[in-house]
Amino acid sequence: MTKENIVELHDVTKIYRQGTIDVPALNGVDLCIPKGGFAAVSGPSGSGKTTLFNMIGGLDRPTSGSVVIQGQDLSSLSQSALAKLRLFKVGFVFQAYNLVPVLTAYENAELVLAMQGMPPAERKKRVTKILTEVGLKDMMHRRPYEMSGGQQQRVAVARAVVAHPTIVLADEPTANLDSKTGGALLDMMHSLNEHHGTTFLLATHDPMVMERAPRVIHMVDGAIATDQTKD
Amino acid sequence: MLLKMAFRNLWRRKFRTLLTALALGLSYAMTVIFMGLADGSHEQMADIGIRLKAGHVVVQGKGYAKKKRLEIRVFHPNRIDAIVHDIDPTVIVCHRIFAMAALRSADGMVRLDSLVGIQPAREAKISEIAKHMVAGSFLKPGQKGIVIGAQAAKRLKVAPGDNVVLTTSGIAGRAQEKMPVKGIFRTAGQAVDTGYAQIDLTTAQRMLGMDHSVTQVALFANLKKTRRLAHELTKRLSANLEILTWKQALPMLSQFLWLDSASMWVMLLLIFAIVAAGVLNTVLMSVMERTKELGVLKAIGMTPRRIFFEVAVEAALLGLIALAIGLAVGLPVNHLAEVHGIDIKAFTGADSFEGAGVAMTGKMYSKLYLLPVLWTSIGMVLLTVLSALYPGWKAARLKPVTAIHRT
Ligand SMILES: Nc1ncnc2c1ncn2[C@@H]1O[C@H](COP(=O)(O)OP(=O)(O)OP(=O)(O)O)[C@@H](O)[C@H]1O
Ligand SMILES: [Mg+2]
Repeated sequence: MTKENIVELHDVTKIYRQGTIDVPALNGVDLCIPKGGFAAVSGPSGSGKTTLFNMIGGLDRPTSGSVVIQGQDLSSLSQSALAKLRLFKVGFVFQAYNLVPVLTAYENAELVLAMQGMPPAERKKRVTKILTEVGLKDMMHRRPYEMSGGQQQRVAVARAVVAHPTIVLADEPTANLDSKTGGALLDMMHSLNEHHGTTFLLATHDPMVMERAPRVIHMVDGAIATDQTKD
Repeated sequence: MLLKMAFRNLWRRKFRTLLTALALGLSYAMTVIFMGLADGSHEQMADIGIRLKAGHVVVQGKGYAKKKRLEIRVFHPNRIDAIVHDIDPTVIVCHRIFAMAALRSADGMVRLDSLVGIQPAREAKISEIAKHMVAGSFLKPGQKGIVIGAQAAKRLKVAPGDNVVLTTSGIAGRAQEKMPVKGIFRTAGQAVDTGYAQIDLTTAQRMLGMDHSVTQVALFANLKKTRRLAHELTKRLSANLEILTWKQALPMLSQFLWLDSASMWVMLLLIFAIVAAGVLNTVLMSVMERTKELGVLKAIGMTPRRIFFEVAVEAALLGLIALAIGLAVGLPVNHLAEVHGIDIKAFTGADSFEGAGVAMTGKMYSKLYLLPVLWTSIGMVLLTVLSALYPGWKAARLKPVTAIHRT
C-alpha cells in the first residue's frame, strides 16, 4: 500500500515580477511528501526554499502548476478557505518575523487554538504543556520584545505545533539558536513526528538538521537538484 | 481575544490613540454642548413666541391662520373653556382678539401690528408682557387703558397716566377711543416693543364690533402636552374651528428655529467629517505599520473577515474611548449651562437672539434630552467604525507573503 501523500506539487513554477524583470523563484517543481514524513530542504540562499513553503502553505499562488494538500487542490480555494486550511492543517515557522507583538508567548500560542474554537480549559492545558516542552515554562507571560531571538523562535515552533497540524512548515527554525537549544527543538519535532504523525518540512542550512532528517531535498535555482531518503 | 488584541494595539500607541480620541471626544463634547444650547434656547424662544402670539395650542375660526380677518372668529369661547377643562384642568385658557390699529398722541403716531384684547386675570398667569413691565403696571380686569411697548412710548412721548387715542378698524367700521397708558414694557424685541399693545378684551370687543366673540382661544400647557391636546380638541370641537399647534400657528418662528438647528447640524457634521478623516488616517497608519504582524496572523490562519473585524473592533474601541471623553467633558459643561445659563452676549456677541419677530436676551439655558444624546453617541461610534472600513478592507486583503517578507 502506498502511503497517503500530504503534499503533492505538480510542475510548480513561480515567477516574481519585479518591475519589468521576471524573477523565476521556482522552476517546475514536482514533489510528494507522504503522511508522517520528515524532510529537510536545503540549498543556497535564493534557491527558492521559502517560496516553496509559501506555495505549500497557500500563502501565495503558483504562476503555473498545482499544489495539492491532502487531496485538495489549493487553486480552487478562496482566501478564506485557505486561511481555514492553514488554521487547522498547517503550522508555520517563519525565517524572521513570527510573533504577534502585543500578545505574550502564552497568548501567541493560544491564539491558534482560540481561533479553532477550542474551549479555554483545554487550551490552557495544551499551551502550558507545549511551552514547557520548548523550555519556556518561566517565560509564558512575556511579550516577544522581552525575549531573545532564540526564545522567540521557540515560541514560534510551539505555536506551529500546538494545534497538532497535519504538516509543519518551518523555515530555518534553528538559524538563530545555539546548537544545544537547536538540538532540543529538533528532538521535540522528531518526537512529535513519531508520536503524533505530524509531517515536518524544514528549510535549513544547518548541517545538524540535515544529518538527523531521514529525507533531504536539495534545491538549486528554483528546482530540486537531489532528493535523498536515508534508511 | 480579539478585543484584548485591539485594546493592546491601541495601548501600544498610547499617544496617537489619545490624540485621536481627544479630537473625536472633544468634537463630541461640542456636539453635546451645542445640542443642549440649541434645544434650550429654542425652547426659550418658542416659549416667548407662544406667550406673545399664540399658545401651545390655539383654537381659531377655520381659515383665520391664512386670512387673519376679524370676521373669521370663535363665537362661543366659553364653550371651549369647558371642553378644555374636561380634557385637562391644568391648561390655562386665554381669550384674545388680535387686530391692527393706530395709536396717536400729541407728539406722534405708531402703527400697531398686534393690538391684543386680553383677559388680564388669565393672561397675567402666562404673560410675557407682565414679566417685562418697566413703568406703570399690567392691565387689571375691566380696566380701561392700554399697555404699550417702550419703543412706542418713546415715539409717542408718553408715560403711564398720559392719554392716547386708539383707532381701530373693526367689523362695524372705524372706531376711535381715548384712553390712558397704563403700563409700558420692554422686551428684547424691537418689533414687539413698537407694534404690540394690550387692552382689555371687552374694550376690544366693543371697538371692533365683535360682540362676545374672539379671534383666538390660546391654550397653555407645556411643549410635551401640545400634540395630545391638539389631537383631543380636534376630536371634540366643531369642524368650523381650526386647532393648531404652536408650530402651525407660528410657522415663521418654527421655521426659523428649524433652520437654526439645521445650520448647527451642518457645522457639526463638517467638524465630524474632518475628525473622521483623522480617525481614518490613524487606523490606516496603524494597519500599515502592522503589515508584518497582520501577515503572521493570516499565515497562522486568521481569515480575511476576522482581520477586518479586528481592525473594526479597534476603531470601535477608539470610538468608545472618545465617547467617554466626550461625555466626561460635554455633560458637566452642559450641566453648568443648564443650571447657570450662558450669557447671550458673551456667547454670540449680539445683545439678543432674534428671529421671526421673537427675541430673547439675557441668558440662555441649555436643555439636553436623552434621546438625541443616545443617537449621536451611537452615530459617533458608528462613524469611527465606518472610517475603519477602508483600512480594515486593506488589512483583510493583504497578501501574507508580501506582508511578512517585505520590509
Ligand atoms: N516577493 C518577492 N518578489 C520578488 N522576488 C522574490 C520575492 N520573494 C522571493 N523572491 C526571489 O525569489 C528567489 C527565491 O527566493 P526565496 O526566498 O524562496 O529563497 P530562499 O531559498 O528561501 O533563500 P534564503 O535561504 O536566503 O532564505 C530569490 O531570487 C528572491 O530574490
Ligand atoms: Mg528563505
